[in-house]
Amino acid sequence: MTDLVQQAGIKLDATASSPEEAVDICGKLLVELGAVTTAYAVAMWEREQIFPSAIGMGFAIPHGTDESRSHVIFDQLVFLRFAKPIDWADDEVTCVLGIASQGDGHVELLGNLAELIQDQDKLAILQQSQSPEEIAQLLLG
Amino acid sequence: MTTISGASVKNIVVACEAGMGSSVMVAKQLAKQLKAQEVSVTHSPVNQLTETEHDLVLCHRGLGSRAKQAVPDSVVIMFDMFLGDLKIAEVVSKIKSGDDISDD
Repeated sequence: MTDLVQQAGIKLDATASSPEEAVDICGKLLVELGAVTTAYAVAMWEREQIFPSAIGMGFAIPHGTDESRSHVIFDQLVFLRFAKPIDWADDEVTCVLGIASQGDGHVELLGNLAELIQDQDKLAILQQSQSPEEIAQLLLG
Repeated sequence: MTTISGASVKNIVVACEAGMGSSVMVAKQLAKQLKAQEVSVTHSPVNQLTETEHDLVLCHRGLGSRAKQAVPDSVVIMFDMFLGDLKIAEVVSKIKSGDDISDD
């Protein structure tokens, strides 16, 4: 079984000027990893427009619609960090966690993320570390 | 306005658009805080709320009217922040103390 987060799914020098671009990069990366079909990537932006996925602390967690779960091949999360903050609804976002999940396989990791970003030291690692390995380990808990 | 006693809350559903992202995150944090009270916390897409068993519904303010429309007889508490929201903290403390919880 593939890990929920792979080092190949972590990009620490991404560039995007809008949420649409950022979500598009997440979708393409998930497709590249073989975790989803392009239909899921399309659904990610559709869902984002219905309700922004920014959760505060500079993070957004884009994902598809409930109906688009059938386009997920295996559960996978990608982590993108942007050098310049992106205006995201009423938030400014620098870290984006793209989610692809068929069921509840990602639930523990999201719970873990909520704790990580409320812990200053761990948040600093997610914001600054140059090591995809360190970030993957932290996310996987 | 709908009211429920905090003491009788045993099932909470956190609703969001897809039931995959933010509701999962809130549900997970809440479950941890209410572990000792043996409250079950699950998550659901807002359009499947009617199919869930719940004593209390939590959702982001942006989805509040849709949630209340779906389950008009349930207490629907709306929050503004996914992390560290005061409204959620208030719900937790009322469940622990057994005080009444009312929606707007």
